[in-house]
Amino acid sequence: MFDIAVFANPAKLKRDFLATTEVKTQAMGPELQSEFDQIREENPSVLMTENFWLDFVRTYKQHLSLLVFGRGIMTVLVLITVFTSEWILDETNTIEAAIGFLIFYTVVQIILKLVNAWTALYQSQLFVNTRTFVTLRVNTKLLRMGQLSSNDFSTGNLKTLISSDVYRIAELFHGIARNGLPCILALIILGPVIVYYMGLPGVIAIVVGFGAMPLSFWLAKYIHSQEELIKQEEDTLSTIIGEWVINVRLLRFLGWEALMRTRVGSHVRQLVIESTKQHGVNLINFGVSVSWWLFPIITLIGANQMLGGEQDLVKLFASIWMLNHITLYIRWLPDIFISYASASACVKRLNALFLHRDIIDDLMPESEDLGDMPRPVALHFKHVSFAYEGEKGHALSDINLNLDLQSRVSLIGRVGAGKSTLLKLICAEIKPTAGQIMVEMDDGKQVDLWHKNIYHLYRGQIGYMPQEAYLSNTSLAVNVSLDTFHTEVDVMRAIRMAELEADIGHWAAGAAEEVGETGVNLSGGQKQRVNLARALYSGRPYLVLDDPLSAVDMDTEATLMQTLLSNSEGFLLCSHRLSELSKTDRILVLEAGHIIEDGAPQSLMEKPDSEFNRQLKAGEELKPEQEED
Amino acid sequence: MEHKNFVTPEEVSAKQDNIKTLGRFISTLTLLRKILVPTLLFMIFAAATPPYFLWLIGEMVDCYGAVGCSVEHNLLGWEIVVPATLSTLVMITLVAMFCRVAAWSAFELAGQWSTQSIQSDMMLSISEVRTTFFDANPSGRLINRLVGDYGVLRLEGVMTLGDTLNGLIEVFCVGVLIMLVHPIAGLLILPVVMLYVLLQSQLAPMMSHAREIRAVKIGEALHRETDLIEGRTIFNLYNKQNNLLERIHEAFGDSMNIQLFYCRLMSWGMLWMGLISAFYAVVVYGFLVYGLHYGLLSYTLAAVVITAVFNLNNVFFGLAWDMSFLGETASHARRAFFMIDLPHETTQESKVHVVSTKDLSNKLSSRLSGDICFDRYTMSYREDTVNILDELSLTIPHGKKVGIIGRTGAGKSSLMQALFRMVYHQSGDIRIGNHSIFDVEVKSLRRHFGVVPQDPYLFMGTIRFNLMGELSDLSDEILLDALKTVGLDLDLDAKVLEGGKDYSVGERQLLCLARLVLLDKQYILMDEPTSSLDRKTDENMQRLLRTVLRDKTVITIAHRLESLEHYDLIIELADGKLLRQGPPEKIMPLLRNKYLEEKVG
Repeated sequence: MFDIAVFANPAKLKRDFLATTEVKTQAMGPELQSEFDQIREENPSVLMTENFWLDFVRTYKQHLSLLVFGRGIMTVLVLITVFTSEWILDETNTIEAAIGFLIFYTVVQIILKLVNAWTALYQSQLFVNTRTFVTLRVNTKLLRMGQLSSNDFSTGNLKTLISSDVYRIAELFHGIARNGLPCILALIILGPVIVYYMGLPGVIAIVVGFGAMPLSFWLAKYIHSQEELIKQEEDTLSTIIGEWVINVRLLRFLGWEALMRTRVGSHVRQLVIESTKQHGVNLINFGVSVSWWLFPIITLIGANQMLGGEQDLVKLFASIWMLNHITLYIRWLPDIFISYASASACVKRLNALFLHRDIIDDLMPESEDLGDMPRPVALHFKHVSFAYEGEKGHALSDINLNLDLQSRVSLIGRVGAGKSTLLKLICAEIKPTAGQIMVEMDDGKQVDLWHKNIYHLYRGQIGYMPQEAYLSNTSLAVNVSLDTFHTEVDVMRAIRMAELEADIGHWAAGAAEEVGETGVNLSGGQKQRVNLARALYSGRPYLVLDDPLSAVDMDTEATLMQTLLSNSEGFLLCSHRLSELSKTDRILVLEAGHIIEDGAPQSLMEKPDSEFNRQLKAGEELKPEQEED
Repeated sequence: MEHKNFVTPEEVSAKQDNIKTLGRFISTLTLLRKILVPTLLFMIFAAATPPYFLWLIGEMVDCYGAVGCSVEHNLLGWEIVVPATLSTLVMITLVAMFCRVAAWSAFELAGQWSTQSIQSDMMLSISEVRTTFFDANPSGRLINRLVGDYGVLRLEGVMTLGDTLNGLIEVFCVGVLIMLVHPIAGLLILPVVMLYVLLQSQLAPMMSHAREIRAVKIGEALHRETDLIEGRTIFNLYNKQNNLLERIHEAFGDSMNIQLFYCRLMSWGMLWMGLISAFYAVVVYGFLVYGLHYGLLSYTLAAVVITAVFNLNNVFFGLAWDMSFLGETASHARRAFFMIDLPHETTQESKVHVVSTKDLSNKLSSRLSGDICFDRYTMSYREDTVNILDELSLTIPHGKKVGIIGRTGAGKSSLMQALFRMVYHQSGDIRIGNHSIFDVEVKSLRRHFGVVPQDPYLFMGTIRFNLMGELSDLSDEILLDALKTVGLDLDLDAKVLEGGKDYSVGERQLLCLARLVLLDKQYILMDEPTSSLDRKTDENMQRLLRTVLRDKTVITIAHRLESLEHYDLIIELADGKLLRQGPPEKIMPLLRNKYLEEKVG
């Protein structure tokens, strides 16, 4: 039970330290691991019940009890010291007694330090456990959630949830373990002794010990409210400086450096003012709490004098010592209350997340209506409509469409016509609000896509490239394969097919080169091609491509189109650039949520008044290209 | 152990000069320097008064009625002296506490206020460094330096300094007191301090390194969490959730492991520090017992020393703790100073014109006017990279509308950057009228040009901010007029989100034009957006070229044929050289043929 590390020598500690980055110890703990496996098995009831706090205590009851035990020992040691010293001093007043007491005191001090170090370990373990407890649950939940229709969980909110909310809850537990628990234990164990020794003055003194609480609470509340303000100011500052750093050439063109400097300067000033206010109040709060310990002692002596209580000096000093032990922790109580308030708000947000509907919840039970080795060959839209939650009107209404999964289809339409929505419906990223999407299998049977087994089967056939795809801050190869276990050959093949080979040619690490946060190290055209490579790497037979070529130049566009035509069984391509689309088998024109034209490119071109023709003319461009430095 | 962006080379080479860096950090805190002396006096007063006063009073009270006492005691009675002394003691303690808090406040608040200059120096340096610096440094890292490192210096940096100073003063005061009471006990403080230092020298670097690793690991875990938040649909689609989860939990587990290890280090350090101070306290108590037993000490003095030693324990602990953070403060300060010390862009601009900043003030800053003439001009982005414009010679006649075309990589936007002197000048010259642009101070050169960027980015704030720029004294009427001229109907105080994403590209483009209308520059550089504009914006643009911008020299980097029809001259670039030039009537048919060829082929 006792962690030997506490006794470790510096050399061993240093070795441990050097090994820390390599050693993979179980930060998770076995009890969480098993529970986590259960969560992975898609058992939502394990995620979290209504009562977060109870769940937490249940999971970590062993840890928590050890922590209480350690703190209890420390408090009891204080009591033992009091009794022993009283006994020694009562017995005799000789030099032997004094030396004896000194030795005893030394021993007690050493034990205290040891127990303290031991509990500190449990305390930090608790801190880590809390974060693990919450993070694992949030991660699993997020993976199950899929596309979110609710705006409550924007990227920013989720990031806050995963970083600062989790941290706040951990901080609360840490605060309780460090100060709340010792305070309560000291009150329970030492309080009665003080009252027994001193009588009424003891009670009064303990009450006075809590006297600074209202003031401290008020100050601490102010400090916390300032914290929010300061965080906002810091975020604004980051945004402004970010704008600067990203647009440094533009700013030189405009000659706005001085202007931006003034702007940043004024925000920094604002930040410093708010922070100074907070810091000043913090110092006052600190001053109050560090001088307050005097008052209970004065009260104890004064009240004792006035009420004519205990005259035994030994008892008086013992009481003062114990009183000090209690008041030492009282000063941190307001912080705990306040962090409870913010942590419970965080828990509320977490619970809202856990109660959010998953896309899996929308699936119908497995369809029985399947032959052997089924393979989807076509998709049929039957009066399909889709409306975004909280938005008036339909993004798509009453779409009837038969899509052969072996044909090459292109989709055009103005901005806001509903192209991306249609593509998401085809990928089953979102579920239609009305109508049905049927999958036709190779044996001619048609089944609703949103059956559990059909959904997974069908999605296994689709490679989807969203308009603004996410790039992960890892190597290019992992970005293409989305997997750390990939074969170099396959990745390079996808890279070659996506016309990225020339780009990575002069990178030092080749495909292992880091792409940076959201792909900052790549140009717009390169990002698009990485996403294309991702779809090509997957080897999925049917590709759904949302404007994949808008940022690549004309030559590359033509080559990529050729690659697509020769390498995939079928695809649906949505684009603003029309010149290449005539090479596909079929063109769909979407406008205001309806399909207004549908046919082979040749037949659409022949109709002089077709929307396709009109757009083709309007968009006539001279060498469309993307500047790439 | 390899970590990207963990420690940059410049940091490694500068690892050893902590004290120098801290010195420079302190010297930048101007407001703090002004009030440093009174603050220190307050600190000394707060640290010294209570124990010395207690001692003094104790001695006075102690000898009350003793044989051979030289103090006159018969003025006041015992019943008055004791409560009076006690209450004075309480008052003194409170006053000392007040002084301590006041000194801390003064130190930390003034320090915090002073750090503003560090931030503004960094921003100044950022605004004058070469633009290629930003290509080599990802924006995330720069923001981290400009906001994160500054934030640490502003708060923790100053606090660490203040607390260390305060700790040293307290140790000094108590040390002197104990020395006065018993020189041997006082001298014992030295080995104890040395033990602390020894322990610290083992512990502090490990702790600070562990903190660094922790920050890196937490960063990694956050990156993986971002994958989950932003990329989960794609991971779901391709069935790679398990691998992602594994990676998340590996990163998270690593960060938690290092966190646990850090805590272990801390509790280990706390244990040993606690033991050292307990040992010290016991030794001092031994001396006191000895002194009391043989009558060398008064009881009061013993009590005072006990109190002081108790206090010293905390002080030592705090001091050791703060000192472990000093190294970190130094490394943050070093990063900030690295930013401040970045070279001015003109010092690395050119092989040909070596211009020292000193000469610049004498350079002419009059208004340039005339044809823009590239004379066998060669440039690259950095000194060691390939030439983009290669011996380019061309003339852009004064007051004419010139369209520049060419493929990607032909050097169109480099041309624009060359005029702004933001590239590396290899050879040749650019002249405006009779002056080489390299003879003009770079800021006043840039002031001659008005720019419509390819990506019409709007800054967070208001329309007014995005419009006015440097001209902050223009009246609303003039601003609204300019908006009307370009065909925009917007409220000046309407909010603009970051990047102007709440406005259409067309609106943003027009706003940039309105800026030009206000600025009245002779040379206009336009970089057309690649995607086609809506008709309204396009028409407005053409109309402005014929009206407000009639007499200006307009250079347009064009991507679309029809926008060039009314131009005076079309220049086609290929591989950094002039391919052909001529009036639209001559060039356009050629281009149209080429375009059609490409389309059919």
